[in-house]
Amino acid sequence: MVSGQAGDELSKLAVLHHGALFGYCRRRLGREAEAEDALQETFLRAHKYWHSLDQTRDARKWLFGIAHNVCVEIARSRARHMTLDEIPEIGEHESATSEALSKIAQQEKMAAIRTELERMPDKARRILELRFFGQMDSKDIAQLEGMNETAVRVSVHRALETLREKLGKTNL
Amino acid sequence: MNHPQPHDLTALAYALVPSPEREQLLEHIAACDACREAYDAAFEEQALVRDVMFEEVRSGEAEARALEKVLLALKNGAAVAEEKRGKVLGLFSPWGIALQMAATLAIAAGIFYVAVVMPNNEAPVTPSSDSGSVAKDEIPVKGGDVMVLADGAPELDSGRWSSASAVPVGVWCRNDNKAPLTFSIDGADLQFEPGAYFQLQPSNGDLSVYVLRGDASMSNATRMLNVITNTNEFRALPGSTFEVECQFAFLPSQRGKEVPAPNGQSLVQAEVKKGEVIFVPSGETWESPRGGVLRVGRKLDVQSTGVQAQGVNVRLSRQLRAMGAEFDGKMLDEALGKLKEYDPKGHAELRIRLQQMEQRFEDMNEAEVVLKVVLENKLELTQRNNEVEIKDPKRALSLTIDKDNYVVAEVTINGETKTCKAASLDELAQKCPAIADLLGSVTIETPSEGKRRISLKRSFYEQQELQEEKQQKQEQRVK
Repeated sequence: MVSGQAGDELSKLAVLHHGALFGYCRRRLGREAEAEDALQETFLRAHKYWHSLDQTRDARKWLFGIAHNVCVEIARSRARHMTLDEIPEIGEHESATSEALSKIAQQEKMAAIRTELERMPDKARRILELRFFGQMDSKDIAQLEGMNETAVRVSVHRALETLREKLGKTNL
Repeated sequence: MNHPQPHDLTALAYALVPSPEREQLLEHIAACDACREAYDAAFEEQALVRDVMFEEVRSGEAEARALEKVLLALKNGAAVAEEKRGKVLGLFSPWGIALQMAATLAIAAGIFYVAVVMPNNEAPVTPSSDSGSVAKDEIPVKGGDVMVLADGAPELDSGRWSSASAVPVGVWCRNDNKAPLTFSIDGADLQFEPGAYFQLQPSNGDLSVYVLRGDASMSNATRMLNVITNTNEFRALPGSTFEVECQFAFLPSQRGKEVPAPNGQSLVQAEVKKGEVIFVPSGETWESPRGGVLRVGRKLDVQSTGVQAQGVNVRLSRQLRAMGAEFDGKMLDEALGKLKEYDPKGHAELRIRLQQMEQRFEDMNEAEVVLKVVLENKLELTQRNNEVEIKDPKRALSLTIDKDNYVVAEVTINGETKTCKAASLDELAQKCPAIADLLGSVTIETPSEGKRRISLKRSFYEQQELQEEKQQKQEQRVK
């Protein structure tokens, strides 16, 4: 019965949070199909470890913690399996950015931020993704990433300083 | 004056700082111009960063497909879960492609929308015998008569209506009789009261029901049913019975005339009669999910004159879909670009129409949304945009955030009213101990608009119930 109950509870959580979790996985992995698989894997693991969830804890954050680990594993697995054909060419990205720069001011700014986000250290980007998609604060993220809270904040601040500097240079 | 570290200000703007430090920092920036300037700049920046992060990752169809897979896996239980685990980690195998082709839920497509999204274990998409097939063009009526709009034109107010014995797919219908109209979809009994307007729509192999206005109820749901009104979404879980009263009319006809809404407002009332229903307010954003499980007996009143959507494309998409059009917001710019090139006149006309539609949504966004919940212990909780009211038989409490981001409480006890102002809920509880217990049901957050927002705590009821359950379990163990 525990399994059935877990399934029911997780179904409800899936309905409530699948959008944000999917968005997070999609953002981390970059591919829609992989994000779908990651989401499913997240809930399968949640099902397996449901008994370990402290019921007073925020289940959403717990699910994001699992999704985070799943994405890390998938990204590692992909790095091992990636063929030369699959490695994105830098030129493609640059071209897309320069195309965006020809649009109106807001779009230019967005495009510049997009570019800088891609260049941002992975850790800082991950923190921002956990913040926006997982609604986690520095305490939650520090726990998940094995850092202290100050390190989380400093990491984001430094990355954003670089972003601000770049945006300033392009007069945006 | 000790100023916060720059990384703390950035963290504050990015909502990374938890309470009570958050309140302390906010208090500081309220009094310090230099820090407030830095905070404001970072806050503006985070809104752009967030928008960039969220762009391109939202896809209604992909999300629905992913949800479908998750629900199916959870329904099939741990054994299947283990079987699939190996496959999921072998991400480069094409196993997922077949599942991707499975039926999906169209997101937020109509004014009031029902879609079958969670198949049973054994027969994922096969409808039961009494429901008619989803592939059929019509569903037989079980009780009452249905009036069908001729030619399928969205001219509800002036169109030609004729009586039919079955509910056709893709055509506006209404119950014009004094008796309820009933029919079944996949074993779920749907009942539309006199005056209700609705439409059946095929949706990737499943069948959806849009209801424009009127009362409806559902029972015997063997699959999860997704119900979307203009203000909220309800997901009725299997085994639940669920009533919704929806007063809303919003459908531009071809002549630009709209079906009038009663009192110019929409009103949605819902009551769970049996089982459980998941409640998700429409316009929910990833930053502020407020959904929760509504259990038996829980009533919900939400009134609004509009919808809260995330962006123009989403809003246009919703409206176009409500008109029955397939529309992908992302394609809008591309389509407009092509149209401008090949048909400048048509492009100009379309731009005007789009601007009008956009303006209408902008007007609607100024609407007031009221969420009211009454608990068994006679505690009455009401949320109106940025105001929360809590009443019990002896006390009344009204909470708002003022222009300086302070929490302002108006407390009435035994007919006497006094006002308290504090930087945080903790401070407020210290200043007004008589209402400290009521403050546990509210939360304060800083949304993207920059102003702090006060709202009912979503988990308040759930936590309370969990505690009761735990207590009961402990008592049983002791016995």
